[in-house]
Amino acid sequence: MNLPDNILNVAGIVISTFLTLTIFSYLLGDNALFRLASHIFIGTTAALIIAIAWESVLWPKLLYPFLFGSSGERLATLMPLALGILLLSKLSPRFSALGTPVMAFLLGVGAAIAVGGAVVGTLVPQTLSSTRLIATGSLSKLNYENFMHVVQGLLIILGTVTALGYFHFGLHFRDTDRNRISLIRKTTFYVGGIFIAITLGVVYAGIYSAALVAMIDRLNFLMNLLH
Amino acid sequence: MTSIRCPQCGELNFAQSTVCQFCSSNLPSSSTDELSEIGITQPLRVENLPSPKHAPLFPSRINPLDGINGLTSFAQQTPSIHPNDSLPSRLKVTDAQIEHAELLRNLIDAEGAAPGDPSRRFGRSKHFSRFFFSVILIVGLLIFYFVSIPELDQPEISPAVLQTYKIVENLAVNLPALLVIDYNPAYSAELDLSIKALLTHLARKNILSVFVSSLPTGPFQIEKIFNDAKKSRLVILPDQSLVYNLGYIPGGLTGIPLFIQAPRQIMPSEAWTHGQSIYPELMGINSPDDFSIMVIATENSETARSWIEQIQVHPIGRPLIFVISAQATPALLPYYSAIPKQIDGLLSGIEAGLQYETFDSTSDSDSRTWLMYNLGMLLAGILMAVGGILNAGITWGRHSP
Repeated sequence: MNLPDNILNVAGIVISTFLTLTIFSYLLGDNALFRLASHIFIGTTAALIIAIAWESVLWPKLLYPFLFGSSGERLATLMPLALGILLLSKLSPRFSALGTPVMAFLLGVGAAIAVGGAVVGTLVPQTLSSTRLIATGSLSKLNYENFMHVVQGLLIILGTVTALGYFHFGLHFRDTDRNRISLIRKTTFYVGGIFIAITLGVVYAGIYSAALVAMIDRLNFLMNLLH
Repeated sequence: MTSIRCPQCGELNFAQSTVCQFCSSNLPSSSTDELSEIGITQPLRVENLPSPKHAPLFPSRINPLDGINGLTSFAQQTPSIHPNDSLPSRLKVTDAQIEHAELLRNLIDAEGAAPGDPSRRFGRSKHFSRFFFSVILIVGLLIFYFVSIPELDQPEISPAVLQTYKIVENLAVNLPALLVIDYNPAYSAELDLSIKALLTHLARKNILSVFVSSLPTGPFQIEKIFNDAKKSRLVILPDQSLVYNLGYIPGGLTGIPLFIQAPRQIMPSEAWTHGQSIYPELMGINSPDDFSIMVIATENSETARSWIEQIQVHPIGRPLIFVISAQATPALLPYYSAIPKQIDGLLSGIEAGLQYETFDSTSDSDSRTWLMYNLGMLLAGILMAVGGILNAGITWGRHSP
């Protein structure tokens, strides 16, 4: 049955309003309405994920080729299907060992991609970039831009080293070096702590900004309904 | 005096014990009166031991290997008994141990307690703080619905937004643009604005925008963007054939490199093969190189990093633009500031979206939103400053004589 668009629109507005108000009710404390709205969101998301998994992956890429495809396609989907079934054995504690190799395969592939990407895509380019900032700035003609490049490069190196030093707890020194090294460690801890505090402050400001925009959007929605 | 014999090592223990002090094995609940039989009475002292055969029952020194059966001989485990040693029948507990036990008990009690501490003053309770600050914020933000809206300058365009605008402006017309929508619906209000501005710009240049997502909720988010675009006051989509939703990239992190290498294989779609009449631009797409630009919108810095890293591993040779939430900006800026740049353009937060719209002269956003945003940031700053001063005053008051 096809419902007219205006009925669907009205229903959408009513449901949106109800859910927005129930989420806002958390300001008065945890309550049943807030939990109802939370459960609706979680349930809806789960349903969407299942629908997308079926629509985009399971049926077109696995079951359809296996059931109705050519012999080559059936052969190609046999291994993924077997691995998928083995992965389902994780649901049962008795047979969960059968799914362990599949899980290990998934984790291994994921880790390989992540580590490879992190080294090639972040570690090496960012290290080279930091040194290039200093080199470009210091070797070029002295002006404001080049000077700021050098400052930026030095700040990146200082921040990286001191922030790493801040989290280093296990270093042991000889007694004779204790006083001298202690001062270096204390300075590193202090400076690293400042860098970390600034970073967390910026991240917090960003989170607040994002949440504020979401709240303004919902307030605008409610106020536009009233006007 | 009752006692209990360990079924494992055969030694006698106090009746109250649940674990054998010699072999650490569990003791049965039944007890016998064996210690009474051998003549031990309170207070227990070594000199009260009736015979040498019972002496090892109360060792004065504990060997680190004691309790491991068969590893050391009994004689090694209990090398000597000092006659002057007293063996109190009660455990000696230090003040520090009592304090720690009390702390642990309080922690366990707090875990099971209902939220909110009735002993705290109402003005300092968590519920009150949350309610109080929210009311200030909401009333402050809604004030623009009841007073005339003051004129506020739109934000000036930043170098990053200007750079992004120039990249889009100089795109080749005959190639489609690829837009990856990798953000959750909760961030729709913040990121939709920038996406809408980019979409308007691309549509005006008659460039097909192809949407994908590596999030399961992404395809629905894309449909929402299309619907919102249709409802926009400005006609940003003059032709519906200028947008296409390719759907979901399966596989999460592992799906990203596969998509970058072979989008047709990982995302079978009718548009690749049967869309000749409506989307002829898609017929020639075999890799992301065949798109004119790649735009990735996300609120998650980890997702953004995954895309950057995989594109670095499999370079696409096309401009890469990120539309990100303000919360992910600190993690993404190093990639934008790098030499050479790993990101060609960056639109961060609602401010960048407004800047882009204003610069593109296609803004249909309510100026009230921009006012409310600025006021919200100002209120947060004031509340934090006042809270900090109050806290400092309270702390100073407590420590002053």
